[in-house]
Amino acid sequence: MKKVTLLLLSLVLVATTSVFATGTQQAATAGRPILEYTTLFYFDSGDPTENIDLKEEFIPWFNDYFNVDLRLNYLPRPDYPQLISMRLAAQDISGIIRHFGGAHAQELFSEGSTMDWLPLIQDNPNWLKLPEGMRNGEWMRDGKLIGMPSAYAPGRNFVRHIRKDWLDNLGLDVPTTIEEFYEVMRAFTEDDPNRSGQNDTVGMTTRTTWLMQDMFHSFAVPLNHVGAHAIVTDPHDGMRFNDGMLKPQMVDALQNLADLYRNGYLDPEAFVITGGGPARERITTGYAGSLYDWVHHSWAWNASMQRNDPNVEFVPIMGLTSKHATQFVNPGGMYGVGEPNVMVAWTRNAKEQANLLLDTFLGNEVAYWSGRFGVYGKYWEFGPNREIVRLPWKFNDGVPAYAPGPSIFSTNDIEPIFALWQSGLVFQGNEAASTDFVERERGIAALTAEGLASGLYFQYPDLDKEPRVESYTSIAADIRRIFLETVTMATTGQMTPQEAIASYRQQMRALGAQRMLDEANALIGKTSSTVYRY
Amino acid sequence: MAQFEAVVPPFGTTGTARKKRRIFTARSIPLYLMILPAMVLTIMFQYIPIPGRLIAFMDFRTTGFQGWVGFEHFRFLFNTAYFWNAFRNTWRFIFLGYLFVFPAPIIFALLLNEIKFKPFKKAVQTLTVLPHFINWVVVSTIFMGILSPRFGYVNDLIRALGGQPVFFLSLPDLFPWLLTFLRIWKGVGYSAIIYLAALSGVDAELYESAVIDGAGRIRQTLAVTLPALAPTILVLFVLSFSDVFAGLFEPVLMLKNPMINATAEILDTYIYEVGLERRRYGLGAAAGLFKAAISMSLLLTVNWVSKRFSSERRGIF
Repeated sequence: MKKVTLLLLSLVLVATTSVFATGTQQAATAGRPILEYTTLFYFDSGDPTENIDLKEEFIPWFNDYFNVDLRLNYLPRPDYPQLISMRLAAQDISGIIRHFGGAHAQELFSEGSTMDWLPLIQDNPNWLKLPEGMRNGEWMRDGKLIGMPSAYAPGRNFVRHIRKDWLDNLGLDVPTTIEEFYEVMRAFTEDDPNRSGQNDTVGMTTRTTWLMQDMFHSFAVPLNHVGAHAIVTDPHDGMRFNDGMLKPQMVDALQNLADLYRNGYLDPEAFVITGGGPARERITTGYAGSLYDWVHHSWAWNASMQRNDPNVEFVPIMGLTSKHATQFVNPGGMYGVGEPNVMVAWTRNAKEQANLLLDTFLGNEVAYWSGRFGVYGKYWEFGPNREIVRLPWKFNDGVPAYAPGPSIFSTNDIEPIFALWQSGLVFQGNEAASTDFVERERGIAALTAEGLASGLYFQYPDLDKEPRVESYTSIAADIRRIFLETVTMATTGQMTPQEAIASYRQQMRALGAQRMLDEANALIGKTSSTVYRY
Repeated sequence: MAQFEAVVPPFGTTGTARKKRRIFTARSIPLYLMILPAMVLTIMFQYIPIPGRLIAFMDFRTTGFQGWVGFEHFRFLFNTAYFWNAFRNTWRFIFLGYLFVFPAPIIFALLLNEIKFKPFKKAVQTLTVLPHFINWVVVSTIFMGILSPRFGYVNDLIRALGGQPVFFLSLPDLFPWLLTFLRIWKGVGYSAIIYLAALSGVDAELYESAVIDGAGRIRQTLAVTLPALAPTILVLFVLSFSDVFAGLFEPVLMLKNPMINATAEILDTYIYEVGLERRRYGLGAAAGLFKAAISMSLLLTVNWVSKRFSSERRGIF
């Protein structure tokens, strides 16, 4: 008996191993064209771990409705780019990948891992009818389309959000200059702005340099689109690529941050916070009084926080002027084309895949919106004026919600969004909330227009301000790290601003940054003003 | 037990003493089958990837092999301040590990061995073993919370005593000590098990003899307990050099931040960042190969030292 049990146990072990080794195969839908798509998000259901049931329901419905075999491949969030790279290196992935981050997409294209879309789709009628700005947007590089755009929407600003009710409690005005802002941060930290009688507030929070880009813009040091470094086309320097870290006023910018940090006006955990969520949580819990973030957050925070305290009010500050800068780089008023969908170079039937994506999601309005809102007829439907009515489902407490219905099919001034774009559920609930949403969007558009009309904002040629040369993409990650560490060292007082900048200069020089800057400028017919050697 | 003895000869018997027999028998096949998955996994993940080390000498990108670059990646690494900083920090952690983390379970086992009240002893042992089963991700998150200047209990206490909150995870000089403390906290109970097992095998008569000879508690520990533990300590000490860099990656990756990178970055996190995050596979592989070479040479050196100088002239190999 023992021998039999042992034998059975062994066979089970071996069988288990072989099952894990081979994995499971997705059942094919016979006869239908296969569309392989790798993504991080899909419609309203968040990342791969969220709302699995909705995802499982969506795919069979979508496949039946549109007669395709959509094979979604979800990769988790924190390591998404790394996983893509590794699977590409192992040639373990093919088809279309919705990518995040232009530099990496450019790098993959330069290496030959992804291909030019244009020869694949240039005659497709659905491609030709897309807005010009979408077709020739930032993913068109030197006549090659490195990625299919995933959105076509007004570029949204980042602005500094500040607690107006705290300002009122303290008898202060909304700051307009960097000096006034510093004083407000002091008062937010030391003068009990929430009238709790306790020392329980801090002036501002951030997540690394991403959510405090204005602390550099105000010193005429523009950062890249995610605030990760300062090698961008500089409107203060004839739109040539330079390295803002080496501009003289960077010393003042770093000293300002060091003062904010040393005095406790800047959240002490600012450089430990690992995502936008935790930074925003510090705002919504009433700990921090200010954050630089997407423009719509003032509206969203007002709506959510006023449920508990009707006095809460955030107002956006479009830019803090200083002796160094009275204009800011913000992509307001421009149209963004979203993340690129890249085509893996060894994809079989790449042309078929590319056209299938276009025809499926951009050739049919139902498909276009179902990518965002889920199963048509169950979770949403068209209203009498082609607006989108969101039907009762688990996210909106059983109350129908009305979303505005602009799209590439019915463009207006609000928010046309490509189908594969995830959506924040900020307007779920009821018609009034949806009306608020529309009003909010118009408010945002008006704010941007005001900034452009008043001359406060630069009209940037496109969202992607980074160099488009291989010598940049190959060291972009190193640059990001060196930049962040330099700012961190100076802000936290581990080095003086001058020492930190000197160390930065040395490291960048060793990295070959001079050649990169020279090549980037040569590409746009300019010469470099930044010199790394002393 | 008898049936196994028939299949597996006693450890240390010579070939001449063995009976010639068939490898596969009705009795041995289930045993081979049971070990098969482990062997497959070992071969898959330990041996098959070995040729991949050659990436250290290649220009390797997402499109695969682009050409040979010789020692170019090593040249780059050895001229990079970040690499040497990571190298230095790694050795600092290893040194602190041997100074504090390695002896901690020995001392703990000796102390636990002195407790005669069994319920208390068992409770202490259970409570100290538990942290071993908590993943480093969770441990790190817990301690980040505990040490938070905003919510943390430690800073609550500091505030209650009239002090100013301290952001412990922003202090570069403190981080090596903090990590050493965490490693001890997490591992001391579990690592002590093997020493406690060794202690349970010490002949009680030895203690009785020592008492008769007039030995006190400390003398008994020095003269009886520690010599009894010595072979176990030696084996674990030598074996620990085979993967001297192990056990640091997860906690450091979780706890490090730009404020403390100067003292927190280690070779493993550097390799992870360079090789995976920055997609410079060749560079990452070169750093990994460098690390493996150090690990191997350390193991061989310690084994040689052990053979040369230990009283029993014994090493692992």
